[in-house]
Amino acid sequence: MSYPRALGNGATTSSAQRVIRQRASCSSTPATGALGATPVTSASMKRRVSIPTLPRNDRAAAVQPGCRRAWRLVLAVLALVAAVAAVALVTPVAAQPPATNVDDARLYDIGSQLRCVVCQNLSVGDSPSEMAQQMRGVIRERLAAGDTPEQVVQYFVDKYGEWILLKPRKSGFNWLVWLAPYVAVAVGLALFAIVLRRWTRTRRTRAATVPGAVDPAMRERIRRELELEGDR
Amino acid sequence: MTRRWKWLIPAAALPVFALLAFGFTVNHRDIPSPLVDRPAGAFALTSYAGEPMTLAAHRGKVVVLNFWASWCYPACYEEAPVLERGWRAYKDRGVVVMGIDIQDTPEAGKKFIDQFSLTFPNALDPTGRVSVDYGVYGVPETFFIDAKGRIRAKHVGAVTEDVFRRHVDRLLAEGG
Repeated sequence: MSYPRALGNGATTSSAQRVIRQRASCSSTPATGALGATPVTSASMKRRVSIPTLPRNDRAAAVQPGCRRAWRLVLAVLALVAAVAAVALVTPVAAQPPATNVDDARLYDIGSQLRCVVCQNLSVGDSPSEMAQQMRGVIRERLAAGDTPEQVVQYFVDKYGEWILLKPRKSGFNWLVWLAPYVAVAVGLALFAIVLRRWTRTRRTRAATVPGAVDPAMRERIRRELELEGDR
Repeated sequence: MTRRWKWLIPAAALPVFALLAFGFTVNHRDIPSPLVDRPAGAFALTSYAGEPMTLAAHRGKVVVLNFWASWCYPACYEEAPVLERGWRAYKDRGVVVMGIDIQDTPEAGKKFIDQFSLTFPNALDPTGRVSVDYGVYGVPETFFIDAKGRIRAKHVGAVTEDVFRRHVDRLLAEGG
């Protein structure tokens, strides 16, 4: 669509020009210059077009009724938008789609307890894999359906076994896994303490029983070396 | 440490070595499914042919439920002809083969089906819910479901003729 660059006084007006005139007159932007073209950028057309303006007298006389209608329309639309926004704000959370009503932190908390089945040492919460994404989707779905986090975890245990849990449950044989490191550290410390005590005690005993004792072989060697020194 | 307690050092290492030796004898990928001998999860999908695909519709039949993907090479490519042959050989004896395509695109799934001229029902699991419901952690995985709707065996890896016949014949012999 192209518009004439400028609309002079007394020029014939087409319907398109009338629309343009109406839009220009309802604009809050004052006209620049009494006559001639005012460049206006139209975003919808994505190119610069020149929209002609009219003399002030013409505008006041010809377009006021249309302008009033346009303002009424704008006010009506604004009122409608405000009403919709107000309804949306006061609507209870339960009425929203259930899938969006799940706290991401809670979702991550559950996901971090579960092993990503296709990953190496990654949780469902951390893995970017498609499988983990789908598992997160299932967690979200179940939480939205009203399951507690414990029930969601139990669902995965039912399907995959306890293998799915990154931390084994503290029950039965699993206690071995939980306690073994502490027992190993305790035994190691005890052994270290015993060995250290024995070493210090032996050294102390030796030092106490034979003060300044020299090994007979060493004594003999020293004697021989001293003799050799003397001969020289 | 006195001499009479020194034997404790190698003795303490023995259980650790025994545990490591046991670890080498088992396949760490072969995770036993807790679903075996439990009712198979119901599902309702739309097959690639555009028809509803449910497990409930086949109650009273032996069902071979195979999870696959077009990107699963070579195992899924190896077993696809085996499943098709099994389906053709057993479909008149009360056996249904169903395929569920997971983590895949519809285009790639259709291409796979066309490539092997698969005639048994196959459907895409778009959300992955069915695969999670069956505790699937890789592809291919195949579940053998008896006429009562209970999962009786799970096979991880490509299904061979032998595996197919062994499980299906056993379930058929058991009857309803």
